Amino acid sequence: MSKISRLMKRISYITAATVISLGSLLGFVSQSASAAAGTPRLIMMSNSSNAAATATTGYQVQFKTMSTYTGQAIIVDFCTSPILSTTCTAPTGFSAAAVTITTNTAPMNTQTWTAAAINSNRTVKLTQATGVSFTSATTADFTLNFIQNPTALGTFYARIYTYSAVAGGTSYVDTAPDTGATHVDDGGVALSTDNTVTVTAKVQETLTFCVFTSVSTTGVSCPGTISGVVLGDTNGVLSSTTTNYLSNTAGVTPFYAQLGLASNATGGVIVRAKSTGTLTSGANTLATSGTGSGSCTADSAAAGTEQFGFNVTAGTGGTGTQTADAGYACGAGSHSFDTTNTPNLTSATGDPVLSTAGPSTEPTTEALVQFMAKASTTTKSGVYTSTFTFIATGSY
Amino acid sequence: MRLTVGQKTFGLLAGITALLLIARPFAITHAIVSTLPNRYVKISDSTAGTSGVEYELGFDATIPGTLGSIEAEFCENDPFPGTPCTVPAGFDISAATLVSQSGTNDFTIDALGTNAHRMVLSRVPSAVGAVTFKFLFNGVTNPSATGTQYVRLTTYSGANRGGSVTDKAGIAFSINGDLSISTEVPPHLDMCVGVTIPSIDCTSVVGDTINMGTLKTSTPAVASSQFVVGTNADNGYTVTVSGAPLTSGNNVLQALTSLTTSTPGVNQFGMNLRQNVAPVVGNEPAGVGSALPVGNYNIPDNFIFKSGDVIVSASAPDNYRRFTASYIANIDNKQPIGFYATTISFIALGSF
Repeated sequence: MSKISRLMKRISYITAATVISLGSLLGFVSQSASAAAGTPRLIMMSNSSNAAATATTGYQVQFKTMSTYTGQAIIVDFCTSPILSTTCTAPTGFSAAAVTITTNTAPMNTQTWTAAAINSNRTVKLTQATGVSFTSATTADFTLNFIQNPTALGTFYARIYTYSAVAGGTSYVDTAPDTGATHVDDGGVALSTDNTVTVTAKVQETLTFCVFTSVSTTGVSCPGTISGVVLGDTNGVLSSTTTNYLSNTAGVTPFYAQLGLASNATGGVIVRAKSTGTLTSGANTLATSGTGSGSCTADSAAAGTEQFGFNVTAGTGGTGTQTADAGYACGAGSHSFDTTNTPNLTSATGDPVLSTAGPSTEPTTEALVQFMAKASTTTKSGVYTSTFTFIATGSY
Repeated sequence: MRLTVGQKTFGLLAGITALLLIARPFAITHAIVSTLPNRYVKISDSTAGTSGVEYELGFDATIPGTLGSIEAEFCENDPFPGTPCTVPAGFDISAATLVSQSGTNDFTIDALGTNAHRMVLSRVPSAVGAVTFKFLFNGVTNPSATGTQYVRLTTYSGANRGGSVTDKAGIAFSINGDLSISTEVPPHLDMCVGVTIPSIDCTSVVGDTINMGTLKTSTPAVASSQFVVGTNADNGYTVTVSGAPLTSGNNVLQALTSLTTSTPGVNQFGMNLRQNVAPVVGNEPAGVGSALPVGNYNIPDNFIFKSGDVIVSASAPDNYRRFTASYIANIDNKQPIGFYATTISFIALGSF
């Protein structure tokens, strides 16, 4: 029986023993090796794809040396078989033609290493004439860049040899790794290429927008309802002595019109208000706050003053920020109505009243629209109406 | 150092171990879907079912190659081009016109590709630079249901949706209900009468009895009262005075039936609504309103009293106006002794 066959037979026995009992594997390794046994020896691939013409993979190599010496050469030989000192066949499609080295930690990074591809770009040869100090506690850590993975799927191997002389790497032969110089440490690593799985997911554009009325400013969200909206006292009668706000038919005042808004639009959402105009009864109209200038105007209690306007308070409590338009963010006691500027409430697409800058969720306290009106002593009798449409436009 | 069996074995076993540690079942990559950035659809009316609505479609053109046509498909289920589309009920863009376009000027509506829920714009294919497209359509009918709706945008290299798809993306927009606000302003005619009314809004009225004192032949007795009127009557209002002159049993102070100045020693009873000098009595009308005393009651130092006379008139809605009625009483030396009294009424009549 040849020396090699005896070796192979012995290896096969040990391998079988390993398959049967993992517990004995650990015990055996600890007897025969020193620090390297307890340290991961690995090659971490930045990409395991077998796609051709993608020589961009980085292989981070880590291993622990087992004795003290000056390392001047390292061989990393990529083969279809892990058996040291045997013919190394390159994995199909594998190439280290463009290899460069990045040394990550000491002692490797204490010197500049030269990386080269040999054996038809199958083998990476690292040389350093001055050498670096390896000890039994040293971890060599470096990355081989611009490796072309094998194009065949499956396992392949790396055989690693270290030398205390440059000649060991320069004259390396797979079947006789000690041709140039006797190697000091060796070891193997298994790697694998695999299929890629393309994962897609659809995230659709969303826009939730609703207009509803409620006596409560919290706890109500889209879709909501619009019901029993009047402006005035419990009978829907406008006063000439006091300011009236939107009320519901139960007479609860104030009664808010609320805007529910949520969207994943990256450019946010603009809400515009469009109106048929001020409160109108036939040919009679109610004067608007600020005479339609679009400026916030303090409410008046004067008997001779009639007013109609609204203000907007941005919602709070959600993700993202709502901002009420400056022309309508009047605060308590002031309201506005714009029929003058461009755009305004009677423009084709209305007047901006509320906006978000980016994606947002529906806030816990919705945006509020408060309508206000007051008659004067001379406001002609009649039923006055006005219709508002709120339009949300998302920018995706 | 010669390799021992243990080291060689370790190399092989380490390889197997490394296989167990390192092998991974598969790698995951992420697909990147191209989009049309800054895309939006802006509508002029979000009311469900409304017709004649303007739709403005905009997006940044970052399309590779040539652009020959653009498809905007309106669906109510999702914004993903190329997937089944649920047509929004009631929505109709088939009769829309392309009012304007910017970023380009050569697109026209592809009549064959356009239908009720799909708008196709087409042109002779040409390359696209970095530009923002805007297309304004009018004559669109909104979906009849409220809620979120979607537009699926697809661009093609060829005209009339020919060639290859070069880009696609979705947009969401919302259809919702109107907010109708109503209120009522009732007709009103406000009036109050008192001896004095300090604030011109009837919130403070003082007194209802005037004591003119002892009548003398040498000097006139004077007094005044006030009333305030305001109304939203379309045609304004009038105020009429009603009552008798000062009377004591069968004895009456002579009411002035024509404009007359105050003459002590002559039997007179009269009034006006002005500030007087002879004698000193009364005030000018006050308040934001514009109503004025009428005719004979509007002349200072001249007095008259005829029950049923209209003494104030306004021809349009008028804010609160306060009038001061000035009264004079003169007697001659034949006037019988007695307690003379009268009740004067002021009657406002609004013309709505």
